[in-house]
Amino acid sequence: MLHELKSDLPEFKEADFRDGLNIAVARRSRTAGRDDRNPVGKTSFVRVLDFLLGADVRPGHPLRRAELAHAEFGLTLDLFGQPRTITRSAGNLASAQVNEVAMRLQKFRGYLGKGLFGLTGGGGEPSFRSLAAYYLRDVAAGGFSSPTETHRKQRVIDTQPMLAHLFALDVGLVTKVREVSETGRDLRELRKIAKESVMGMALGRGDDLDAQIRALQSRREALAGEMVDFRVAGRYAWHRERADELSRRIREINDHLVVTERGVKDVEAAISRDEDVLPGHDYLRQVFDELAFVLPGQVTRRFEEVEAFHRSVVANRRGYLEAERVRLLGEISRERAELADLDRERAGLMRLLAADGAFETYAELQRQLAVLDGRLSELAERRSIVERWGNSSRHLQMRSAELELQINADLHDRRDHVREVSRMFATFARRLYGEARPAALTIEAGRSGYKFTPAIGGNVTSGVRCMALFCFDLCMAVTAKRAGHGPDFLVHDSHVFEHVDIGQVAAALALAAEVCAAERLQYVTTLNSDRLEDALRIRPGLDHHLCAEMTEARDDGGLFGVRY
Amino acid sequence: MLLPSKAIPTDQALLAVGAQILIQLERPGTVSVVWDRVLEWRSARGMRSALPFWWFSLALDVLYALGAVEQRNGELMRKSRAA
Repeated sequence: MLHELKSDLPEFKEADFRDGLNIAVARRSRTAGRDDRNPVGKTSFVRVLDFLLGADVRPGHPLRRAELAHAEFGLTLDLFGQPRTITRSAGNLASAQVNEVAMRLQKFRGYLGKGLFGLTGGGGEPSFRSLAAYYLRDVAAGGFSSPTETHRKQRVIDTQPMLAHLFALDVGLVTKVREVSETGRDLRELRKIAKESVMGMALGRGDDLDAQIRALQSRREALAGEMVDFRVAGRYAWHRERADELSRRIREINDHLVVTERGVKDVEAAISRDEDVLPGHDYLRQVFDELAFVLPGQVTRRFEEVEAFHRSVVANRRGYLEAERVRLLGEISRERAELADLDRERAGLMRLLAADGAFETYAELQRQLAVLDGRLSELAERRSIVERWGNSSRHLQMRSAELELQINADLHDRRDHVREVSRMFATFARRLYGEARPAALTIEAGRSGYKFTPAIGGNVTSGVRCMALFCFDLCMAVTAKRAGHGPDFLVHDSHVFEHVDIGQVAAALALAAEVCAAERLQYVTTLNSDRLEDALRIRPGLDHHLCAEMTEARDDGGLFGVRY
Repeated sequence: MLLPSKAIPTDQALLAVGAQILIQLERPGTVSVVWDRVLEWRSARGMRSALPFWWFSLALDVLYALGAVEQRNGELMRKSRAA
């Protein structure tokens, strides 16, 4: 819970926060023709809050200004169950004070990460600042352009640890996906470097090999040219090409079948391992009795409860394995059917080619070609030792497919949780747009981990997109807080309501107030006074608190009350 | 079954397997994920003896009966005694 925002600047517009919906209002007169861009400090308000939660001060940040360099700012909020005051100044960016005890910035961020997001400092966890970016989105960094991203050009894979943590999914799985993807990137880089001459020389005979390969290839091309000119049989070349193409496709399918069949074997092995001497009822009873005997007084569950738990554990896993087995078997049978078709077609073509009579002469040319091809492939083999990492990428592909399966299984196991998150998002969206716009938040497995797709349907304007982001954040804040993975506040710059019809703004504010009351959350937003007045006309009973007021007076009206 | 015996090696006694499961529950996870973690953990430590899923699930049952784990939102998690 946030309590108070202060500064030692004499004209600073202090803020006091309460439970539920908090609005920092920017007073504007409605006189037409005035410069509407006169900064009042709405965005600075969010940025100062962010600063006190350990944000960096980049070029363009208001606190970079000389007038503000020595000003001290303070935020009181609940941490570890008690109100504590954080103090920080742009003059000393490397540290912050908590209840007047100084902390180095890194330690301070670790402290906040533990207090607000339950981070333990273990490997694979997202950083505190990357999580905070979802609670105080930065307009300038592009924080409002997509619900799942907090800055421009963020890669999907980089958002995974944060989203997994906030939506109480498995951060460990996401870490594995990242490792695979990063290894893949390193491999691609290496391959690029190897093509450059410096590296080619370092690797030794790469260039020599290339020269030999080129010489042989030109002889091969001459021979192949002869074969093309061999026109005894009219449609010979065409049939030949088709037969080659079929062979290639057959090889591809065979390769893929090997992988799929291995997958089925793995799944079947898992099923039979599970079912081997499946423990009967007696077994469970026996364990339970033994437990009561060995550790008397420690058993806290009744046998019926343990039995129900046992059933749920076994059912979860078996359900997944069965579904996976059926899917893989389906794939195999489809591929086998395709293989049979291709093989039939190829056999027909081969008969046709043989019957053309010129087959023997052609075959002689082909034998010569085969000798050349043999030598070429030997050279290529040696060349590939130089490029050994080529194989690794295939291994990586399989690993990434395996991980996708694991994530699928994980989502299957958590289907109730996922359904609840999705239902919450849909309910929020319905409160804003009624039944007119179908809305859903889907979480699926993908190559880069969990795939989040929040959408509000229909003819999507930028206003609707902003409200999809609003619903997503609210849903995220509720889910994270319930799981003990996130703080009890959410801050939005007024940007989130830009281009949004006033009716929806009023509905969103009412929704925020209501969700805050039910979930014991705090929602803080900035808003222009004219927008707020319009919203209050639609929802006169809106339960809100004006936590700060700024005006557009140039000298001392803005947030900092300093002229610059 | 709970304790090692002539027929049951130390790394397969249900209480030992239960302890191995608790180590994997530093972070909560779904049944499939925790099962994979246990197998990975055991193979990394060279424990060759096979651990069938049903034995794993019995060990889970023991932990559950003792009130050491619970299932929430499809996830297994440690339960602290004080809570």
